[in-house]
Amino acid sequence: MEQSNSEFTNVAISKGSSPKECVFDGIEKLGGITNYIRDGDQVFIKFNLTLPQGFPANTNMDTLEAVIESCHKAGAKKIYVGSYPFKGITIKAISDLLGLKSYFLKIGAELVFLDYSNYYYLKNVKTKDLKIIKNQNFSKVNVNGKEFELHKIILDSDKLISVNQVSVDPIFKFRLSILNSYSLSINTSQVNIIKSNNLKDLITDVLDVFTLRKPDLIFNDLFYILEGAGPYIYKDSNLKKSGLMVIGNDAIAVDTITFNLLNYDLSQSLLLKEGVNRNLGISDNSKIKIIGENLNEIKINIKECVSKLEDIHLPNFSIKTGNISLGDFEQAYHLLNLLKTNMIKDIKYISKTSFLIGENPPEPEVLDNVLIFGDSAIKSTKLKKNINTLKLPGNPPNVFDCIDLLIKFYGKSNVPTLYLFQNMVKSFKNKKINQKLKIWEGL
Amino acid sequence: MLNREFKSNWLKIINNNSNIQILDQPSNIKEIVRIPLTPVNIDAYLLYYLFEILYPKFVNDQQNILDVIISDDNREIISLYLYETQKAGIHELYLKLSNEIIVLQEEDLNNIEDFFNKIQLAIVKATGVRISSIRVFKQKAIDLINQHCDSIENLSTYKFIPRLLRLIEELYDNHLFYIYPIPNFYNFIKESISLLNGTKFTDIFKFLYDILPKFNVSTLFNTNYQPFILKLHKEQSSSQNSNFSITLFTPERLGIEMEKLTIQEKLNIIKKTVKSDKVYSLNQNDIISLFLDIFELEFPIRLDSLQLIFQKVLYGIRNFENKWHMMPRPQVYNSLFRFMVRLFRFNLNLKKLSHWAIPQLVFNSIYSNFGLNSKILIITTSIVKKNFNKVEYVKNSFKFALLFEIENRKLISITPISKQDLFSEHKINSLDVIRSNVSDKYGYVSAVISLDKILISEIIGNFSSELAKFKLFSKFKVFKLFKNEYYFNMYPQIPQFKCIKEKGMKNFFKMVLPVLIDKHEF
Repeated sequence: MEQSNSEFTNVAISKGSSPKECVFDGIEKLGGITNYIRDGDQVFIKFNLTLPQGFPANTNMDTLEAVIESCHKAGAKKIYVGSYPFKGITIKAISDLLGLKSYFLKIGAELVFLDYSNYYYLKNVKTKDLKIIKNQNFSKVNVNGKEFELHKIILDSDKLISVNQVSVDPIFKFRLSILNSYSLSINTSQVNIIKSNNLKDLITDVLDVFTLRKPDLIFNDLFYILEGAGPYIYKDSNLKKSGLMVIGNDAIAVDTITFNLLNYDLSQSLLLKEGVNRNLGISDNSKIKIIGENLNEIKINIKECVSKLEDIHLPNFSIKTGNISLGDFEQAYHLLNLLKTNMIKDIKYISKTSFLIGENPPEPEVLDNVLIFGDSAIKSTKLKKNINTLKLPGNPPNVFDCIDLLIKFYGKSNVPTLYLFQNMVKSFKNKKINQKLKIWEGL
Repeated sequence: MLNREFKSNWLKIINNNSNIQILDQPSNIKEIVRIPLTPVNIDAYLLYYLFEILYPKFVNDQQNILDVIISDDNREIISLYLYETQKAGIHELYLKLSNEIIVLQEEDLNNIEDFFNKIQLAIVKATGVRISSIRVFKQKAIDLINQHCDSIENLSTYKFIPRLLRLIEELYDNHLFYIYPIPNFYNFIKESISLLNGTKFTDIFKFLYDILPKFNVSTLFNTNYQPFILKLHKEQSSSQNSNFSITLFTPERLGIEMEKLTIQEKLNIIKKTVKSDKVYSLNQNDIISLFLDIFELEFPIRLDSLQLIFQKVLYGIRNFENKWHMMPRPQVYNSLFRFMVRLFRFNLNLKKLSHWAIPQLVFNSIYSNFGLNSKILIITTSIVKKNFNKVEYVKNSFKFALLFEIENRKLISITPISKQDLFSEHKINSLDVIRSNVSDKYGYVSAVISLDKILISEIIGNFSSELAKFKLFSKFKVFKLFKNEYYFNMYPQIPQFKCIKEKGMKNFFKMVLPVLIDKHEF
């Protein structure tokens, strides 16, 4: 089996009529699954598990099923699947709403509750029990002077496979496999990372998490690509069907080829460039042997996410940005897209709103309602006292907390769709569970 | 050779059409004919009128039509009938042409446009008439039509409709009928058959018929030119010993002079004359426009397009006493009634029905809960005392199951799922197990929903009675059924479903109502 730090690497570009066909064909092109998985191996599959939404917010289950089937064919003794979801959401909530636990069991894999949220619903579990669980099941790993917590199942697994759904991403252009690895580590680390204002710091942290445990086999699923607004499902989201999948054992190489297929080169991805600088894999096309489809003959044009919040075009909202941090940008991007998706009726009821974000945002043009998003905007904005203002605190603010505050601010009768949305969210994200999650994350 | 009954009826229609063309007061014609391919009797003039308004909009708005009957192997012309029409769609005089005019090649039908051009040239040369449309029937199509028409005049409506639907399916499935220029409705039926992926129109009809409660309603299709009345009467609520009738009248036939009456008076007289429980009045143009929109749908159907049609229907519903009327006047539009209901915190003002927000809410829920690509399995059951089993209630009372496949906001197929694919022999068939079973064969299924016939019937019955009387207890019955897993269940449980189960349908409805009803007139 080739190692990712060897001089050459193979990357398969497979094309098929279904995601399953692409998986099987790609593995075949790389010499068969036994090149990667040995008889008796314990395998951990890192997939995208973000929100209680369907595909493509989460990995295509047909792709995942094909990968699991292949591992079984190679004689894997145990297959685990797992990931950390969006901040504030528990794995148990997503599993229940999508019926994942039983589905994975049926197809021969076990869903790992990395946040142990399956314990939060038990009456007798106390904080000290959770602490014991955490100590027993997590290892602390140091990378570049930073400490990360990683579940022992991941560390102890013989093989790690990354199954990544390629989608647009507001910060990194695309969610490629290296970014998928980012949600392997425990959430508390990520909270600190996202507070980082500097893209370079963020990239360093993403790569640090990636080096905690590099995947042995990577699937970048481009059979359908989420474009427009992503990586979750929003009003402006659209799926583009390419029928392709990029597979290999070097994440940098697989991501580079995927990036090329999407009509970008390495210089346009700071994340990949830094990965190469840190010698985490191969990106030089002359050292990547492409098997299958001809890279030069395929170019997929994808509509990227907006790079400016003003471009989200939320009716009745005037968005003014100051010097904005990455964390604020990302959370505001999700909040505004969420409002655009869920607030269509409400926007007709509420009067015009200014949305101020970042340090020293410009003066609002509309003064009927003013929303000030994030601590830095709150600190640096001075408005007259008689203006109807809502402060959305946090560094960055949490999207779900913002929704609660917005409903209080406008009044539930003025935002009936948002109020309905809030009630639906409550069915999987209630106070009790939030508390338990916070306790767990703080341990 | 055409079926004798069919032929004599068709000749009668043609004869009447030519008489109507020359009369000053064509509505005075009192002749009764049958609507072709059906046992439904109709005033000859009304049929003429329906052809006059519908044919140009749905089939072809130009004159002169040629019917071509060919052999099943596409090698021989069997008959040619030329209809010279003064008005598009009004079949009056016809001319049987010599088969020798056109030499048919086996591959001619591979390109219907070229074939049409070839025929058009030949007909101009032979007769001097320029045709605008051809309808090509294979001999087998004629045989099937003959079989269909056999004793059709004695058939009940309940038996005739499935027979007609089967005929349509056979004509399309076996490529026995062609038409050029291709009208939207032709493509719509063709694509619907492919979308349904093996689900038969007859099965859908039987299911719908079965769940419909008994009703006796008439609809006045209103226009200044020629209004007409359609009466639908279903006497039994089940298909057994069912008596279902379709009747069409002109106001003249009923002795009603429409010009002098207000809309309420018209509906009142119609209600008494045709002895219906309810009478609706709809604008002919609105209905035609709705059907034109439906037939224009492109396949695979974009859910955005369905959303627009849904909006249009809701917009129609909210425009009570503007776009439609009803007798007796629905209580739900009564101000005092609305005030009373509001005391219970239900703001039920259908005149402010949010026609634009409701479809968005529905489709947004589909995308966010199930994804942009999804497969949703809907199982219908029919629970009765005999088959009820607390554990295996789905298996024991299974009626049919359809798998709806959505790809990037497009409905790409509706596949019927057999009992064998749904149920395990050695496991308890919970919806979770059923999902796994179906996923094995058809790929990952996002959700399974089981709905019982009783619940669907109650909802339909409630909706129609809602428009006449508001029955509080029947509402509670529906709400209660929603809470009962035997009548409505889902796996995995999406937030909306959880909310209904945990808080009850009544509370969920209260929460949704401000989205369904607008605060202001926009």
